Amino acid sequence: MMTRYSKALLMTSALLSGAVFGISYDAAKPAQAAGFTAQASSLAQAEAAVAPSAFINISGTTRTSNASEQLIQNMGDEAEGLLANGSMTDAQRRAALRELLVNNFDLQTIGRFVLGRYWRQFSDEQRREYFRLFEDMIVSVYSERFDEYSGQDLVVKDSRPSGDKDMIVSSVIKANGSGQDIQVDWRVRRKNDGAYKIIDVVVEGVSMSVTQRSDFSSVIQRGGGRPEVLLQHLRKS
Amino acid sequence: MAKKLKKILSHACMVLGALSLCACATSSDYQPIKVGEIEIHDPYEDFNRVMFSINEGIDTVILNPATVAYRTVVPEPARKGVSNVLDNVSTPIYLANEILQGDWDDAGLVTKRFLINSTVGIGGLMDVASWEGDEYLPEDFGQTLAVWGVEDGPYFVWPIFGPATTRDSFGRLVDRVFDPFFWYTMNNSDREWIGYTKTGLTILDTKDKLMDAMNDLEQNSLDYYAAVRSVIYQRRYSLIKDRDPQSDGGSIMIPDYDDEELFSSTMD
Repeated sequence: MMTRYSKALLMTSALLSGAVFGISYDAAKPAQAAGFTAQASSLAQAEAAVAPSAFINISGTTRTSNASEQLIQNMGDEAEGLLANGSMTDAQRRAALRELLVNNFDLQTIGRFVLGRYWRQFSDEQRREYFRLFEDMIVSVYSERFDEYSGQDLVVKDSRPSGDKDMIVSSVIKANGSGQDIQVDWRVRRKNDGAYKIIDVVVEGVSMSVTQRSDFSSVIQRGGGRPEVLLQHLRKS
Repeated sequence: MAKKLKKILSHACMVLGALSLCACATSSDYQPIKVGEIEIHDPYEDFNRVMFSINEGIDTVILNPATVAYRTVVPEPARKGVSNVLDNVSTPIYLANEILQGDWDDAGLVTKRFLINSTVGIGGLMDVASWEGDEYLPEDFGQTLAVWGVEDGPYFVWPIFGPATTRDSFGRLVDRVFDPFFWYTMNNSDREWIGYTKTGLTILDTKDKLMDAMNDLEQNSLDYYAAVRSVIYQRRYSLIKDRDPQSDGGSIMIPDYDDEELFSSTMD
């Protein structure tokens, strides 16, 4: 009993002194966190999770990152710049955020995926309206979240390929102080024209696109399978 | 102990069997639903939706205000401490389930976390172990059953406790019954208050973590019930696979639409 106890103490004091000297146990994945911290909300450990709450700052990866990782990094930097820019009006900020989202997210692929098997039942006219409304909805949702959180540490960890065209970029939102870290995976696709765009965000194992797909298909199905029902809901929100 | 376990399992199978028979006699045009690659069953959807909105009412009137009060009265580091202690005290359940799943690596990790957090972390108040990356590893009997191959069973929204699959509901019950903490406090009548305090704190702690995410989801979804259901299945699926980074995110296949025409010039 004594030896076990002292072993535990030895182990922990070794660990703590390691921490004091700044040895990161993540040494295998060299990524440095940025210094901006703010209110963190602890979504980790939550059984329900939503898409990430903020676009965050990342800086200084100590290894060369690929195009997908840079996309996430740059988006975070731009978003942080928007936040810090005190000279913008709310309307200007919102317009800038819309542009940021449209440039970095492949809203058409996401929108198409989210409709699932109901896509074919939408006429051209309905599809056009749907994409307009969908974009509005995404911008509105993220503007709100943007306002709430003034920036948190995002650390791009690594990335791995998935299928022919996709990379999954793993990142961690470092909680401020006593909260918990949140895992955020970004699915980035290389489009036919060479551009890289985000097509999904997975937080703690929960995919934004899949959740929206469940949401929308439930609305359509309960509305008797009619596209118009979904459009009505989207117009209202 | 093994006999008792077997007895409980066979009872469980009977219950599940009975429930799946009931599943035939429910919402008339019930069809399984796909969440990503996962197929889910919600044959009691009409009932569940009603119970879901009742729970929402309970949240609005009682639980959310209580959580706000909790947050006001107890500062963040202390709340984190509460959360850590509750986690530490659940170690026997995590450990038992890791062993039942044959996951020796994680069983070792859970033990290590317990040792470090109980000693250096002062009775579990500080989650020291996670500072070096030995993260929180929640396990429950529902996950164990899943690893053993037991089917989900129908989705069910319980009053107050909220939604869960049949398998997970049963799993929660088993964990509760087998929790040494539970036996200790219930067997000593003057210690019962500890048990109730723990239950109360667990509820507040859970709500504290969930409330913002749930509100966010409610405001940003068209069908809140369906969104929550989807999130629960995805989350359970991810926990069951122990968030293996190789399978995470990769299990969601978003097709390549690049070669498709979004709009047709002629409608078919």
